[in-house]
Amino acid sequence: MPKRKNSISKKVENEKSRHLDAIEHTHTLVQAEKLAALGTIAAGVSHEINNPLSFLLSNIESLETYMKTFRILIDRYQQYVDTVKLQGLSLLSQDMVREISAIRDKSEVDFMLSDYESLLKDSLEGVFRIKEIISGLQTFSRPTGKEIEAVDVNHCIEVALRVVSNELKYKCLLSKELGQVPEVNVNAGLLLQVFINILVNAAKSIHEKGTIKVSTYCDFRDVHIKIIDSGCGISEDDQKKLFMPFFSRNHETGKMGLGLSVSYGIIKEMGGRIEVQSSLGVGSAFTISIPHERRKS
Amino acid sequence: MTSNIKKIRVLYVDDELNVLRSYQRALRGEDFEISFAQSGAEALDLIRKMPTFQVLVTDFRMPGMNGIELIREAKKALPQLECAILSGFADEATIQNALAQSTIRYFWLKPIGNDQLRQNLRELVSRVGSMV
Repeated sequence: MPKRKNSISKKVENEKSRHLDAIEHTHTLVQAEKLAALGTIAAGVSHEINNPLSFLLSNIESLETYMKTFRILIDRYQQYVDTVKLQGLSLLSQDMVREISAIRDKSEVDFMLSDYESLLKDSLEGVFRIKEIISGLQTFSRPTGKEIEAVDVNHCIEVALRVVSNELKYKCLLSKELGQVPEVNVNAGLLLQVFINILVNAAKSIHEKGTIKVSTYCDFRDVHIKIIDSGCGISEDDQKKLFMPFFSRNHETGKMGLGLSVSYGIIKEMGGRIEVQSSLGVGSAFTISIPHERRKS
Repeated sequence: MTSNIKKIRVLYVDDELNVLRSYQRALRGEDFEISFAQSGAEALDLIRKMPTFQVLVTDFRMPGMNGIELIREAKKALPQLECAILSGFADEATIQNALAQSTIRYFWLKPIGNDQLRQNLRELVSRVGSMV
């Protein structure tokens, strides 16, 4: 009898070890896919940051010129006030008024006064754009954790769109129909990874010009996120293998096809599913469905 | 010399409106006339309406057509156009090729400070100025 007990406990131990290995393996795949995706979007992200940096640098230098001019004018006004206080209105004070007017005309102070608010508004917009990109990248690249939190799917889609903006904007007309959907209890970084993966794939499937439509909606059980592209489409044969590890349609680049299988695994782990409908030459629609009633674990 | 430079007409193209506005600020008061366009199509439309531009500076990556495609189209109407790309991102081989074939005179990398921007533009403009 004790012999049998030993054998059962050994079996349990083996099972446990296999399970831990599987978890470890999944995490490794998720991390590997994350790195591969980062490689794909890195150039685009740097361009997305470079653009606001360009106008921030220029605006700050322009603002420096404005401030120097304002400083000179304030000093001159102060000198004028001091002179009038001491001497009253005089020939000297009249000269000073003329000098102030000349400075105003020469340095286009009226333009500066009318422009500085717009300059600051543009610059702040640039700072927020960089902040959003960095925050999206931080969510995306932090080590795969298990923290489950209430995630606003629409916000997560917006972050993903911002991170991959450079992959999309030069060839895709993007439309969004984000409905009112409840939050889902998932890991935000993993969900973002799935969105980025599917959006990058959608952009890659469009060779010249096309459209991508992103919509969110819900039913009593699930929140659905639908990403439709007008790309090259996927053959019926390929659709069957699409979520299998290492399946790639990217034969030219030789890139390993981990992305969709990893995304499939992530969504499955969340209790959800990914479905695809596609026609060759017409485009594809990926629907991600995640239950919104899932309890925090 | 100054009066010649004053006549020179520059067209600057960038799809990012905030970049256009910031360079509009930075280039106020320069001794050349500068117009701005937000896309290749808009730039070509301007060139058709006013075929007097002598300098074209453009971003590389833009929706519709990229900077090199725009320059090639623009040069069909204005073969003497002096051109440069000012961009934070560009396909290296395309740029090398465009430089080698003299499609563009310069490639400048963003971000760029206002002093450097003005200096670069003056240099490009002076090439036209010396030919006027």
